[in-house]
Amino acid sequence: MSAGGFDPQIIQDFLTECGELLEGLEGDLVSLESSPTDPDLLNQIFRALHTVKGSASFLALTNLVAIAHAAETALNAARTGRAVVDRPCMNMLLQTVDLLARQFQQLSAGEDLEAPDPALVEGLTAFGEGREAGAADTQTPAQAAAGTAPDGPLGARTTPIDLPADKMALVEFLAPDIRQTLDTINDSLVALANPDSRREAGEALAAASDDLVRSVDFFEFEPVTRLSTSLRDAASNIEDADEDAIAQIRPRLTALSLLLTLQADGIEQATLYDWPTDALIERLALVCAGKPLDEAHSLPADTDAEGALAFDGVLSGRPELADSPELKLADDASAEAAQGEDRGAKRPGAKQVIEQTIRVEVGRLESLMNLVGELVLQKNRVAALARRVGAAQKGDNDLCEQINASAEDLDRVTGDLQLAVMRTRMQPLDKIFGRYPRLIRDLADKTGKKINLKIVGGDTEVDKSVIEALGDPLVHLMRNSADHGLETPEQRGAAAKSPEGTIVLEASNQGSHVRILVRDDGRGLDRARIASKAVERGLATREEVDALPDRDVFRFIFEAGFSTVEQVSDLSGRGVGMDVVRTNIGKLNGSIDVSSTPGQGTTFTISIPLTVAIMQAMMVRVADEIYAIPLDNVVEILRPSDEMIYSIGDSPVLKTRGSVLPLISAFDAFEYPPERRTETPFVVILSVNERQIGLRVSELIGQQEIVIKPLEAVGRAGPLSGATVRDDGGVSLIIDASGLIRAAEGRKTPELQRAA
Amino acid sequence: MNENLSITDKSGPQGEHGGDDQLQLVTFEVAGEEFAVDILAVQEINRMMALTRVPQSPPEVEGVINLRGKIIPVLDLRKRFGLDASERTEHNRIVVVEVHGRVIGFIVDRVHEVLRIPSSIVEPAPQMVCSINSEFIAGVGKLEDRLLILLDLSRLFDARMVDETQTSSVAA
Repeated sequence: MSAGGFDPQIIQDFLTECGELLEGLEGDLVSLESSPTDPDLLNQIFRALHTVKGSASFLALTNLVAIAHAAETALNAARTGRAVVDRPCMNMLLQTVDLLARQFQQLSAGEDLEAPDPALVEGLTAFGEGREAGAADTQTPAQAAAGTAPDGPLGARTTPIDLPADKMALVEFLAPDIRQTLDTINDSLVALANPDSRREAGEALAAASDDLVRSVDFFEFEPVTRLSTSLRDAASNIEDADEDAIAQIRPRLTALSLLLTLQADGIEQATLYDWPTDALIERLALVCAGKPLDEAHSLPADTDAEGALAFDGVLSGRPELADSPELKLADDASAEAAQGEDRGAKRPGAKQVIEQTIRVEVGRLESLMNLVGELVLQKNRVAALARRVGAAQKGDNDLCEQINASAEDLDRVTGDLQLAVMRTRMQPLDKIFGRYPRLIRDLADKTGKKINLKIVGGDTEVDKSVIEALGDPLVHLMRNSADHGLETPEQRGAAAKSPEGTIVLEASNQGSHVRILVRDDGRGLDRARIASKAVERGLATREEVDALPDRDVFRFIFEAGFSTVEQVSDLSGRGVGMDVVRTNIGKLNGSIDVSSTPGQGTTFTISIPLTVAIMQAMMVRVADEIYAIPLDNVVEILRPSDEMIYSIGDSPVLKTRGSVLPLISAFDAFEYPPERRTETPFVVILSVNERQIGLRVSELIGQQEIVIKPLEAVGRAGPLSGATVRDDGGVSLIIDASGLIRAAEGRKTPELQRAA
Repeated sequence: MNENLSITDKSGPQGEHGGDDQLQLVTFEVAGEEFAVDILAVQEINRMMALTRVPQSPPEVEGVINLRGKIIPVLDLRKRFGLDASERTEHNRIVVVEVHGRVIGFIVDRVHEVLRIPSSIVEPAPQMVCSINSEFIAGVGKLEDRLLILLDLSRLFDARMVDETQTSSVAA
């Protein structure tokens, strides 16, 4: 059944809200696997599924409700201690999450939802009911026999259930739902007797009965709604009740619960029961509102639920004591007064949940971010103008100072604003890290390896766009570690390592950057194999490769089409991965590097800026053009003397502080025609992943905060990562340091490589 | 800098875009020939401004400009047509158009006018109408005293450059 006929906004809300629950669900399930009896975890998972199911049934998403219900049944068994989630059950639960995710996608695409695999539903239900899957359903005949009496239990009037077809299809889920909730309610009612656990029990009762009201509400079964609403209202006020009041409340609540149990049975027979419950409900409301009952209406001590039913006239049809019209009126009035008072006085102080977050469309944040970007540009222009005014104005110092002060204020406010807007877009890395335990679990299953995933620093926050773009590269790195990096338990045993391999995913803040490590304790990279592959693919000659240090050899794995694994596996090893990883991270203005020790493991280090939109840059002039260099890449700026520069082979190098760096001229890198070349007295030393290079430029202009704009519309371009608007309104191109270094290395001679 | 206003003024009091059989065109001159594009494709027309050269970009890309905070590429139409570049004069203009969602500027020798012509006088391009590749030509408008070459902007700017964008992003 599709969700046709519902407001798209409602469906969108459902997708957003339940999508979040679903994201959490997967991680929780994987954690559950290592501690299968953790009650908090079980409850959390159960609740999430329950909410998804409840919202879905409101939207009449039958196929979604069916699978969620089955999973809920299984979890309920685990939650109540009747069963322990074992591996087969976990597999089914994870399949459920996958199915739900697919159904969400289908819903969002406006397609019909796929029906769950009957075997899966049956498997989960069987687990929940503590029987073997496929065993005969023994419940139905018994149930059918039980409730065919013409008159309802406890003298109830009966009404057949009559509903439109789409709701009718969902009714079958209602009865088990009510029973499950009632289980919780009954537990709380028992706990309520004990003053020590009363507060907690009251809260649990309020939550459960609220659930109940919501489940029932959809079907508009008046008698059921009346009972459950009364239960909820009583429960929400129970905390403040004293011992005497509890003695009046508890039996009546238990009575309500009993009646609801009967209703659940009735609903299975498509029948609703109706009892004369007015007196019961009224008296309950009175006590809960803190009004003592007349003695005539007070239950004798130690009355049980059935006693209460009889006392309040539910069974006989009349309350046990004289029910004069006057008395009833008085009751009504005081009940109303009590309720009014309750509303007026208690609500504000009571558990009022104030919403601390709002949902904002990403598009709005993006446009806000763009506007801030514009503002930063304008701020830069104002600052530049203020400087010019300062330089030009000789007479009116006061005006000049005011302009400068104003420009400084603008600068500060803009900075704060920019930070604030950036923060709205920041999200913890856990958002993607949360998916990986499942990934590793599946990889471990497929490869037959034992893998322990450690996640550190998942609360590190980065820009939303960074989060999104990081997901795939990280998946690839982890697959790579699991598939190629880690050895099988036997191989690990032979190498005297613990049979379980470890992959560590670690994030940390490094100033304006976030560093993410993917580290495994596997076999390490095979230098010889990578080297021969590099030679084979013509990336370098044998002599060149032999001269390179390990880390430079390892970097070949980031080249396109480079895979040393002969056997292409299902998981990775198609040789299309690492270069894509590097490309994607490069698009975020980030960098990736690898280090490895044979037999001890491999570490990938990713460094990405917190945000992709704004950065600090060094502005340099090259003849008559001005370029921006990301400040993060700038190590040092110097004006070398002639003896610091000499040539190795045909290539110039710069000797500084004992190291020798390749030196390239910006004129070469950016294709200046000979007639436009001038002097380049300055050298900017650029560094990416500890690889350094000197870039010769004409002049240094200074540091500036720049807003990065894409250069894509141009088509191909040199080693540039974008463009920006300068404070004079002109356009400067942003130098891509890693591209520049790669381009320079491509031209390198063997001698130079040694020198580097 | 922005000359939109003066242009729309010229289109006369009836000011709206032509009906089914009317075309409203912006006409301009490149290398002595008169060209025209649909006015709806034109966002604005600017005087020449400083271009920022982009190293290793396709040869016809003259550079990029800052169009109110947005960086857009500017092409030299002469080079795109495979003609020799000429000296810049005060008449040079940058015509900013939107083609398939991309904003691109191109340099013309001078902008003439906004013109309304009946679509009936537009004929398919003959093989050799002028010095430029006929695949860029959407049709030829025969006016009383002259010929107007209607450019097909999507062919002129799209296929090739989009391809290059893709390959460059893979190689990046």
